[in-house]
Amino acid sequence: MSTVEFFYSFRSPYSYLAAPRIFALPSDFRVRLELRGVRPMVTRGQPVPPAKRLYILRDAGREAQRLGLPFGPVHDPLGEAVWRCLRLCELAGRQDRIAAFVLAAGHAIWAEGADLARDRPMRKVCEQAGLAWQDCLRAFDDPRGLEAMERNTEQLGELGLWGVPSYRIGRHCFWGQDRIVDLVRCLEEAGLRI
Amino acid sequence: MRSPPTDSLWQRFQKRGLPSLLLWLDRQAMPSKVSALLRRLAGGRARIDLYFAFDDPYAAVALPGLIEMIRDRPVRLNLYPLARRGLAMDPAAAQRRVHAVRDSAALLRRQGQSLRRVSPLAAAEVCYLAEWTLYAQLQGQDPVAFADRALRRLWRDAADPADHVAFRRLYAECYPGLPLPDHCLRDRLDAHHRALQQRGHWDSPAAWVEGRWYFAHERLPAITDWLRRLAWLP
Repeated sequence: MSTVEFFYSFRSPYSYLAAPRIFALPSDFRVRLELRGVRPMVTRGQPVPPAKRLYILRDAGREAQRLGLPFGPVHDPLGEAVWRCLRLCELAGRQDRIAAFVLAAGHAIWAEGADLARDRPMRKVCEQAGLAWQDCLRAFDDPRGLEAMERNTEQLGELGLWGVPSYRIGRHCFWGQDRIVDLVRCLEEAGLRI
Repeated sequence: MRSPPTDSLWQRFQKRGLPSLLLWLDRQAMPSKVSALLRRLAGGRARIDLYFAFDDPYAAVALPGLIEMIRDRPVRLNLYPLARRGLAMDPAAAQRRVHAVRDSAALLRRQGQSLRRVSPLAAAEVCYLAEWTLYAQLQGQDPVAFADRALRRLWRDAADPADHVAFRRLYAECYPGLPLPDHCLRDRLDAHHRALQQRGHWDSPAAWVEGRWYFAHERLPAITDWLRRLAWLP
């Protein structure tokens, strides 16, 4: 079965906007999804001046309205919230709860203004995703999540990409929540529609 | 429980209060609607300011799209050609340029059109086109026709930017009798770049549409929607 790699950042509102459509792909296409959590752009040496931050926030808000997704209040997760989410991705992946976790965390950050650096909102997200809180507490000390993040970030660069959300299937790469239509076309041309 | 230390009030404001407030403000369309209504009653027009660069393939998607969108409508399109663009010290600048060519081709393919150029152009190769566009504008000509045709030739037809004769011919077709600039306009183009940054954007093709910034190549439907909400488009 073909694999769609989904490069995702918890700090990227566009990743939040893309996630529901990307996680829905396996119901329409014969593909397997692999989430590749990456470092936030600002921690990868990418310049993100206030004007760009502001543009992204406003544009993502308008795109969310167009897509019918809730957006705001938001809580910028840069820092501990991002690292915690990335650590939990490893656990969620092992328990086959990755889509549920990423969607719940994204909703909490971008639609509820939840501070996932704090235990109470993070616990709510984990339980929504079907993860046991005690397992999550252990996962916060597990280095594998951040190790995977470093590998994924490196892989993104090797593909000639720098932004998220990005998607790769075979030799085809796409960047942007508004380029999912091109990914879908690619999957259709490959005869992968169920 | 093992939550890290609580953020200070200022940190909480920066992380939650400020972005949420900015989002809320962006969703308040009433002031723009009132402004649009008053201008319409006074016989005014809507305004789109497009900052664009000839070395940007996205401009070859954005400008024709905007022209088509506002044809025969009370919307004025102001062009601000750029000689430089983007963020300083961007480690992904080279990757972005390569990606932009492929991505522009994909955007045009959605409209049943094609992009024949397959590799990026250097800003220096096409800076003269920005100068010619600006010069025509300064002489009271409409810069849109030349910019549109030059962008199409450069990117969609993959015309050689070094073929100044062909572009000079195009210029003469657009502006019969108008000479080419006899002095360097680079300072004026740089002023466009500074103005773009001061107004809150950084790259091409940036469109300021009635109080909102858009990357025009990928937000043409959103621009149409915004102008419709303000009743500038039917």
